[in-house]
Amino acid sequence: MKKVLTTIACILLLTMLPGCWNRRELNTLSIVQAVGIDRTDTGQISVSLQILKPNAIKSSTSEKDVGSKSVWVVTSEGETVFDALRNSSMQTDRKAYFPHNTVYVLSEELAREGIGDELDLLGRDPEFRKLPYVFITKGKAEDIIRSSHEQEKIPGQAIQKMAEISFATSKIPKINFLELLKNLASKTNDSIIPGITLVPDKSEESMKNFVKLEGTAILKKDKMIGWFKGEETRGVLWILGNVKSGILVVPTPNDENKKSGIEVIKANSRIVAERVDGNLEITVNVHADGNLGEHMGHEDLVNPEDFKELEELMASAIEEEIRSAVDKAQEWEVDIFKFGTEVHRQLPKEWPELEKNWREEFPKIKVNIVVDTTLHWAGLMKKSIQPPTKEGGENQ
Amino acid sequence: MVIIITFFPVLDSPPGNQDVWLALLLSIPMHLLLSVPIYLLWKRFPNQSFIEYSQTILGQAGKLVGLLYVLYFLHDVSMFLYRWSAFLTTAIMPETPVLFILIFLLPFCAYAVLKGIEVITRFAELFAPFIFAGIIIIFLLLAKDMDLKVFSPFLEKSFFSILLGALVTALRTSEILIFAMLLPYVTIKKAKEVRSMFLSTYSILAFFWIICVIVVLSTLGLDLPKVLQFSYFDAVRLISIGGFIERIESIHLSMWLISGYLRVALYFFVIVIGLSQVFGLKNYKPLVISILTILIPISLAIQTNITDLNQFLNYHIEPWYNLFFIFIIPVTLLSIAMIRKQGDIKP
Repeated sequence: MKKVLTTIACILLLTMLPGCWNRRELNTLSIVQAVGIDRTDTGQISVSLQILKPNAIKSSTSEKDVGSKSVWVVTSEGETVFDALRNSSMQTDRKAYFPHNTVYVLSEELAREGIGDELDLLGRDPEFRKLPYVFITKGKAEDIIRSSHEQEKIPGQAIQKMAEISFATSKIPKINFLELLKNLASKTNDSIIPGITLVPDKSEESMKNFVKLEGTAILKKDKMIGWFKGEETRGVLWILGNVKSGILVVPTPNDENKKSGIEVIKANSRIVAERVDGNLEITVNVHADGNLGEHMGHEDLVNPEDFKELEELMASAIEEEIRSAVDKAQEWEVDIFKFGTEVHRQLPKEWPELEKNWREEFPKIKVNIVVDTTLHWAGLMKKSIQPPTKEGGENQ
Repeated sequence: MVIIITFFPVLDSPPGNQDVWLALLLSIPMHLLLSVPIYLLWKRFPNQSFIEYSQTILGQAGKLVGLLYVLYFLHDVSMFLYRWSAFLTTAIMPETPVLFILIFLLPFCAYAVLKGIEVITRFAELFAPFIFAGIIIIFLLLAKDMDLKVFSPFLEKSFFSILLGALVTALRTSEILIFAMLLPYVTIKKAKEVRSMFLSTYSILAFFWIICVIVVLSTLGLDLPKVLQFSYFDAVRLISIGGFIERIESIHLSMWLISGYLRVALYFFVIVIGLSQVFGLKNYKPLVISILTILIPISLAIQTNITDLNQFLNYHIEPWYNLFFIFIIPVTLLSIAMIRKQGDIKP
């Protein structure tokens, strides 16, 4: 009797093994690579999904039909983001699946009215991850999602990689969704989001447009208020300590008409907040290390005096970038530098009072910029490739 | 003894500001303080569990106290199951009915309970290293994303608020009472070792709790975790190293499942022996199945929605509710026992 019971129990247990309640196989999923959110003229939300076509990717490895698109873009509308996303399933035969998503693109039109409400779903639903990069486009997000890319088969991944190599210029911030959420949750911080735009393909045979990262959208709380140019963005990144690399263009010493390029190899920043005569002052200390990467002109620069001068020029170039960013931010009353957090840490006693009207306090802060630079190496050449001439260098 | 291991970090939203870790550190002495009455009671009645000596002290009224505690444990474990299924259904398996999760969980707990306390502790002994290792691995994998600056300024709010935080933290661990129930099973009779057991338990608990808090605050910042429902889970989901060590929340999930299983089994055991002691039964085993059939509907019945759960778990309600059971009743029992001079009164 007991044996029979055990056998029955075992068989019953076996039925539990095969798995989950709502398993979904790969061929029932639409793997989404990029999401674009727009607002239509009628006030509805329009969502564009870049869906991976696994078959197309497989076949194009055999070099047969490189031209065939490996992604499929579906655009659907709805009252809310969630509604719009679900409505997309009326066009796709498979349910959209988001954990592999790499990019969110928002349109400027939407961002100017505030993105907090639209992003709620992306933070709330467990299917969305918090690591995709966020972008704002001047045009429609749908166009960005629909664009194609020459190098990568999946345009979404191309945009992701662009964000990851953006440190090479440091003119574009790299903002993932978590970073944005952190800033939105903070009472005083404001956010920056990199811009993305379309540029036409120069080659004659196609009508295609390519994506390009350009500028930085500045958000006051969740509402976008304007754009920063590349150098201003780098000014922000210097303060945040996020400059990893980049080329600084400075005038060549002894030769005002020519320029030299300095490659930044390392940079860090320290922010000091203090009360000076009752006024809040913030001192931004930036230290940057660089190499002489490019030298235009005939002068022999690799001597201590000129190197010293180059260091100073580099420092003033950095200071100028920071100053332009700070001035603009103070004018717009946006604390994109996380100064509030820093003041909170360094003047914790005064912070409760300051926090109440930080937006009024922020433009009044006097910001001092102290830049300290070190030039290390000068590449593979000791001197300029052209020998100094009479016109070029009198001091030879 | 391995009762230590029944503790595990309850992955709820951490309260307060950047000094939370300090509150957690201070929760060790708070825990010890809260365990003092239980410890003294145990010294008086070394061979009896909490429910047994409450009967010795109070006589018939003690049965009532015992029953109250059985109900408390019952409520506590169903609250735990509530939390457990809330996490599973919102974060992992949104379409799976809670009933199925419970049906897969509880009969196995019942089986462990039938086999006795030794099976449960051996299981704990076997799996606790994995759970601890999991927490530490997650900590290490997230180390590159951490910004330890969030922990300054140090001691921003008053020291009193931190002490309060420590007290609240200590009061969240209703396992102090599990000690009261299980101490008679401790084979070591030396009081010294029991004392060090208390201390090491609470230290390990605080240690892992602090690790979790460091992980959450240094990756998500100060403001975001207050908004998030399961902030530790969100932090774990951030792990991404070199583009291939990603999506390892399943490790976290398995840790959560194993430790949850342990906790439920232990509570189940305590409920069953508690009930048998209240009614003076020699053997607790017949009760297992009946409690099982009660437990599933109860834990389903108290589940309404997430707002309800958040309300109960928030620090205005749960710790003070626990305070009554963890501290006030034991203190009352202890003082009665002292007045009536019951139990082993050694210097």
